[in-house]
Amino acid sequence: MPPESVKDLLAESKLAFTGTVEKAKATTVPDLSVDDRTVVVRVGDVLHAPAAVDLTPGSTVTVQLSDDLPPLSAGEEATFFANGLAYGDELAVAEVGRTSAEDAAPTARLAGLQAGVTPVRAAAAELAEDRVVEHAREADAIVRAQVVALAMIPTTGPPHEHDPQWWIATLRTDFVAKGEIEAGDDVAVLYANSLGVRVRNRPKPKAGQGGLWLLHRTADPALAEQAPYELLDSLDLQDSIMLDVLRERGV
Amino acid sequence: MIPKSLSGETGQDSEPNIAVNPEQPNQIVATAFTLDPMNGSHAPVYVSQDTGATWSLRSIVPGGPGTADITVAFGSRGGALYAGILNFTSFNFNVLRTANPFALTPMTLLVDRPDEDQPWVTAMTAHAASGDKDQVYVGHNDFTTQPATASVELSRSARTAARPAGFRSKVVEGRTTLGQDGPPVRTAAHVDGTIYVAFQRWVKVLPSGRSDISMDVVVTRDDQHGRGSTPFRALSDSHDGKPGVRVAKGRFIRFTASTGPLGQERIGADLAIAVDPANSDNVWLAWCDRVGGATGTDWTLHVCRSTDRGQTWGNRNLRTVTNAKNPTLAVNATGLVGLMFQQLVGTGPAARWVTQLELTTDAWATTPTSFVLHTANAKEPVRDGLPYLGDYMRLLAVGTEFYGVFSGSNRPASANFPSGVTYQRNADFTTQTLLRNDNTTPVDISIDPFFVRYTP
Repeated sequence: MPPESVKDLLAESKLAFTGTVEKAKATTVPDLSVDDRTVVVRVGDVLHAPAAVDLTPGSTVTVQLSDDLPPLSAGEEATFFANGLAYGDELAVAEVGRTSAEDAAPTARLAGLQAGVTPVRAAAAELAEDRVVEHAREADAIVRAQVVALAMIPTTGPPHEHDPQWWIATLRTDFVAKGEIEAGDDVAVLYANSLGVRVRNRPKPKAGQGGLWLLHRTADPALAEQAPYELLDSLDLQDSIMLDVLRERGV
Repeated sequence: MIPKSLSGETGQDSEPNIAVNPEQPNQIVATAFTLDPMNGSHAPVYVSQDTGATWSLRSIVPGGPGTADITVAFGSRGGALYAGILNFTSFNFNVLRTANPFALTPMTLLVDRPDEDQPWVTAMTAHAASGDKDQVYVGHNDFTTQPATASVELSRSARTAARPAGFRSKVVEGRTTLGQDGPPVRTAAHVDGTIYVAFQRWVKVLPSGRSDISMDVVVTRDDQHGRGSTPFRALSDSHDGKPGVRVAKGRFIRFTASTGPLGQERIGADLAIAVDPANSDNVWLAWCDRVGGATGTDWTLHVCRSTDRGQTWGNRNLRTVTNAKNPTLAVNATGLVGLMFQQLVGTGPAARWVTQLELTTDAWATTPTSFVLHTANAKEPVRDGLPYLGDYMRLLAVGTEFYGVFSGSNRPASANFPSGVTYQRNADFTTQTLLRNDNTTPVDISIDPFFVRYTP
């Protein structure tokens, strides 16, 4: 089997860092069971990490090595691709893949230069773009448009804790990349205006707001009579410049 | 409770809940609207194995990186943990189980159903000839049974059986409603088989607005662990003869799902019930309503008590607190009653959220022992959606000890914690600054869950 690319590894993991095994069969996280594949790694470069995960160069992290990869001994270096296991004073992660320390290191640094771009960062950017492209392929319509009206749909019946609080945004289109909409038309788009947990991260159009809108046919028949499309995902609003990317990628 | 390795965390970790293993009270599990730090496929729970001195996160809750509601409870023996959630992905009502919440194994799905709300879990373990049986009671608001929606999902043998592990749902509302009941359905279980259920019957929408509702606070009971085909019918109202005693009738509530009339927080669905572990005749109830009605601005907490198994209730205002929410009650082994709540004190820019714990031996006849656990400017941080602090929090008693969890601003200011505090995440209390793991980079103030333990 050919080695997985950095992008493939990153697609399966949330965290990437270089490091040196400091101790085998050990952990820095209390109450975590230890076996032959549990190692403590001293972190070198943090190549990719979610904002909430506070991994710093020089810190230690417990890594549960993948059963599919050779075990590592103290002193060995690698680039680790991993997902979270436990978060305490220190972090424990489960390895999903590995490359040599050099493969994922900043290429500029290997050339003796200082630069921020790494193969991992580039792969992360590609993956983020892939997610938008994939989401765009699933959209029923894609329009470049500006919000020209906002209106609340009056609700009936008793209030509900998780009421989405439907509103309709009228989008004035100037370009249609996909879907049965004529450029220049106004299109009514349903969106959840609630700040509740369920829909908090969905787009909440604002008056005058412009962008590239990824629209989905409204699922609820009653609501579809009021607006043929709806916004369902945080990816449904993109900067207009993303249109070029979608064109290049054949959407 | 946010651990050091997540010192950069800035989420709105509201609506906390907690479970303490009665067999090993050093083992505690807590929850909040905390997302998996790596946005993975499972949501985290907070775990502690040293009586809450230190906490870490384990992502073991299926359904996505978070939950849309979550509560937890341990059986009284055996160490199994149960959770009731609204699934983050499907929004379905789920009941989950794990034999060991401290391991890294995901919880097992036992119940998966759409169109429900606010699961609230209690559990206990009963002796049986065939061995211990975990009895689990999940109060929930079941929109598939409209117009009577207040329900309890229960299993009398939940510990090991395969899905659905004996779970079945029983509607506890026995009267007409405006089309549904309120979101909170709370249960309190006693080892003698007494199970109390409290819920809010939504009677009618008032002319003053769609969010203005006339509500009854109802308590019903079962005396045999919820056994039989018609459980929770042991209490009937002396006035209308229907199941469930209406402890408070025609109370005004303004139910605000997506606006924050109390500080930055929404209101409308506060309810708590607790049974005396030494005597199941004694049961305590708390709720909030708007005393001022349609033109009022208050949100008033009320506490009352029954000493005859819920049939009659004395003074409905044994304790009242104006502009308070999230009441939670617990009774310890000696009959000491704990009430924890969050009160908005002051107005305008000076308004503060004050989280308090009161303990009384005489139903507030004399001044209770009182602790201000937390006080913080109500404008900080700016909310990131709702709920801001949560639609509930929880206080428990195991033996003589009280254990609780609340959410609030994490500004590291000693004055904000008059009863003391220990942070796990990096913080500089001199400059009142949160810091990342590098101990240098500042981190924005946010809402964190805080654990509290009180030894009488």
